[in-house]
Amino acid sequence: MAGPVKDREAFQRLNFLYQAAHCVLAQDPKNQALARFYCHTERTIAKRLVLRRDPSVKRTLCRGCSSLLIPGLTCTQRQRRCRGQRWTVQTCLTCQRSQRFLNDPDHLLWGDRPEAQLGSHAGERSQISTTPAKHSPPHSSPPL
Amino acid sequence: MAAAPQAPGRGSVRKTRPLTVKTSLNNPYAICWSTLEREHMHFILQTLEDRFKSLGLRKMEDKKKRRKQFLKKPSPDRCGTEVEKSEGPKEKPPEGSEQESGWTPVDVRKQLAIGINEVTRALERNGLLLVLVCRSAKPAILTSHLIQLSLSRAVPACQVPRLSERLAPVIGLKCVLALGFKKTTTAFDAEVRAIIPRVPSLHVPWLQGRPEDSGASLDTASSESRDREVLDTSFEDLSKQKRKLVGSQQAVVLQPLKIKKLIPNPNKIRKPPKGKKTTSK
Repeated sequence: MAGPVKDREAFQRLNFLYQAAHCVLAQDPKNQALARFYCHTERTIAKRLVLRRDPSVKRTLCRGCSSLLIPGLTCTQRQRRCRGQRWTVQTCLTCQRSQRFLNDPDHLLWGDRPEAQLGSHAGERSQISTTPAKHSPPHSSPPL
Repeated sequence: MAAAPQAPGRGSVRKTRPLTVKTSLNNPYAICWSTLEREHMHFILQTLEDRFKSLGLRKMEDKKKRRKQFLKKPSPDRCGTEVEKSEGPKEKPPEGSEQESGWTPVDVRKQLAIGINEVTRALERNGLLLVLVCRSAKPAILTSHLIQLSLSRAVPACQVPRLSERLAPVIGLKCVLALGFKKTTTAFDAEVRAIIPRVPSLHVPWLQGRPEDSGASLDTASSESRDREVLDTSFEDLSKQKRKLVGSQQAVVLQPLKIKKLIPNPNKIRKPPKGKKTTSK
């Protein structure tokens, strides 16, 4: 499905809400409740319609309180060491929930790799519920 | 919800079949560092290197090497060691007489913020004049938060390609990914003032729709333009500068929708299947 994307309007809504949350915080840094509301709405929409969001979007949203994470404003980011490895720890200031990312210089998200982009040749489908195709035994088919 | 259901071939899993492409909402903002020109880069690196050398700013790390120090001939005192320039600049402290690892000189060290955590903390407290980041940071998450931080604090910041390579040996550290000059700095005043004009300005589309707007931010979809008018009126008081009503607005511009289309990972680690399933649901 190359051209028209299903639920394009929903994506536009998500996009708009995400940008609106940024703008709200740009305009009034203290009004975090509104930004949180927008992000919460965005999360609800994405959940209801099962829309996939890029990790770069998800990492800027807090999973606990769904506030928009802006370093310095709504979250802190530190480098810490844990069990001999170095992690980047992002802590939301509203709900004190922290996310940790391992600092692996070789790590690249699947979505960022060139072979994942549309246009290169395929693999099998994955297990995620967004893909509804029934499949052969080795794969567990998703609920539909 | 996503792709259209496809009748699977029950054959081998390696057979190429019509792909289910996953669409995901991509981040409309691409937050990245501005590029620094080569001559500026050389100038910055050279200035800092010279300044550090002239000040004799060095870290003597003593913790693990204390035992080795006792075996080695202990060098007289701090000043002597920094002049003779120790053999291994990294964790090979030449001095053995000092018990604690220290910086020379201490007050100069206090005017700098060296290291990502320190720079971040100082930025959060609005205590920096200039931020320099090394481009060799991998993965980029390490320093990417500094962009927004420094922009919100209106601090010039730039990414210098070989900062760590050049400055770490001079200072006596393994790696310098971020360097910040505090507002109370006296020793680096001249350097900071020389470097700041050469630093390119950062821009983040949502934070400052100022003159350095990226320009590639006109929305395309009609629904977005309708919403933009609503946004326009609400931000009218925000932008005190002149702004055109048609076209890009000074305060905020809506970025167009970006959708990423992905092909699922063929090497994805999957849970072992529970058993043969003929029909799904």
